[in-house]
Amino acid sequence: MNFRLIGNYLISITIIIFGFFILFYASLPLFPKQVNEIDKQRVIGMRSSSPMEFDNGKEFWWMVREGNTLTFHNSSDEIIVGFLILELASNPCNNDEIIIAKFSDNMNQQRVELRDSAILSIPVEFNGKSEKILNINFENEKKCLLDNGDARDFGAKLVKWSYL
Amino acid sequence: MRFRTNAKIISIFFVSLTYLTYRTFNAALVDPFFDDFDSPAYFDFQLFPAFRTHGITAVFSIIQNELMISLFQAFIGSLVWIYLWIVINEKLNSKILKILFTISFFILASSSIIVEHDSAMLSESLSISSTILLFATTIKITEASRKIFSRTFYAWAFAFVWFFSTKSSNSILMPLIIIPLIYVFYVKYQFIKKKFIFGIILVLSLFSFLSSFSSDISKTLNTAGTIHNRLWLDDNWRKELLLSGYPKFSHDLWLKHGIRDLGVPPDQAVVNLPEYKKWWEDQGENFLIKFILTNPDYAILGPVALPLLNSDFSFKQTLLSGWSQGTDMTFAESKFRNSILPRTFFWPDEPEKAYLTLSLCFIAIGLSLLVLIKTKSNSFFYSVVLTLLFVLVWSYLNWWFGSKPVDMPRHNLAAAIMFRLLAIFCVFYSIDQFIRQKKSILIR
Repeated sequence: MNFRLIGNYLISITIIIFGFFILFYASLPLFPKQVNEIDKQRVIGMRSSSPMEFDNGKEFWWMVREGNTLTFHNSSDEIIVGFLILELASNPCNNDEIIIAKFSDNMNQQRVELRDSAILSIPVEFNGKSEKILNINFENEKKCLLDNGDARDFGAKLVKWSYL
Repeated sequence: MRFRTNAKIISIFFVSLTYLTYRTFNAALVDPFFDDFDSPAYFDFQLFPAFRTHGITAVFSIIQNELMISLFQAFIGSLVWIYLWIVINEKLNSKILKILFTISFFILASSSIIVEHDSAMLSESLSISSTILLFATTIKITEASRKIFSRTFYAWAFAFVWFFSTKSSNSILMPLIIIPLIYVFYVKYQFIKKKFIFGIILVLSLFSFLSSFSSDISKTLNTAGTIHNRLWLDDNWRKELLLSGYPKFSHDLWLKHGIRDLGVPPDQAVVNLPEYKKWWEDQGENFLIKFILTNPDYAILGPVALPLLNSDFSFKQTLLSGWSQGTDMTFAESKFRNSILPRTFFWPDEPEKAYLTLSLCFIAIGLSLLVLIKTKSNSFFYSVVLTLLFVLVWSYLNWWFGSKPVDMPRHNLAAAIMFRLLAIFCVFYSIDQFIRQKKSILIR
């Protein structure tokens, strides 16, 4: 019996099996869009057209009546499917507001009523290394201006955002 | 006959010049990338002890100018890839296969994943070049069997010393490569001159090997990185770690520095702790070695199949991720916006496709080896298997002692390139051998 020949065949077959192991365990399970290798909450970032401010150490952004853009960026190379969750609180005048959120590349828009607080949940799909711009606007014409020298017309306070 | 030789020389010259121009032109277009954390040490040549390897620090500290370093790296990279192409091309007989091989080879050699490092003030470009030169000269030596030409031998000797001097992980491989060579050169060969040259290689390689252990800076950082990115996430491994006296609260600190930029990277923040320093002196320095020896499942399966040991892990934390995905400075760094480099089909961006490419590489290598057994191409068969073995050992060492998920592609880039190169080389060579054998049977 030629042990060297058998050994050579075994080496070759082991390498092929290893190739199939990668195919079936690492590659194929990732093909469905819903499956991600990375933690999707850690790769989606947000940049707002309004500056970040802090209230008791907690970050927030004022959404103004003139219009706001929130740019969401997927820094990973994977397609990511999920829901964008925006938590909003009322403006300093406590006006009731109707908020309209719409992605710039999509005709569909989300409409939500804001009294004390509101949660917007928007289904969204990101391609790898891409960004999407969300426009936030208000239907209510009633202004919310403060007499402290701040000229902004406040619409709502974005207190938290997440991607699930 | 003369016309044919001239045509061959002209085609080699044309292909080489095109590749050289492409690579150096890109290096000239792109602004050099200086990593504030890693790059400064590469410009500081230290003989012994040395934090960074001499093969890089010597070059960077002599040239100093970042653009000139980029051009130098591009020039050297071009030369070694062209040399490898010529070496492999010489082994193929079929003209069509030579053309197809040339196309595949230069698509791989032109990909951004390989060429982008020319413009980075880090060790990758020269390290990859040294690996390619070592591979090319080893093929030449294997092919020569009994009679080795002096120039091939000198190139091979230089490739060894250069390879060991470009990365600590390369120099750690030294005993594994040099010991069989000592046998070959001192027992089998009688040439005094070659023995003398080999003696010089041995001394220089030993120096690189000892240098890689002369500084604790990388070791402490890599150990902290390995612990918090990997060992901490498994209950049993964490228990073992804490039993060794590892400061428990260090993980919260590590997480805190990971969430926000607090001026110090997370691993460095942990290493700066007095409690970590005490643990390092007591048990820490050899902790990872002990851990690997006492956890054989982690040591053997972990690097390629960590999710099979603990489902909380993904393949992102294994070598498969590093071998498949490659780096992406061309996309990620603003300084690379002028780059003309494509990723190419060898390096798909999406992980599922990247793993698919890697799996196809292994399947292609395995099938080609079966053909090589059939065609009785023994020396080539063993060269491929030995190269695979060295690449595997090299990658395993990287993973055991420091490849965090974020560093996985960069640390294992040379291995990722070698798997693709071996796949192309094996496929074309085995088809060539198969055709050759069929032809000889027909002639008989």
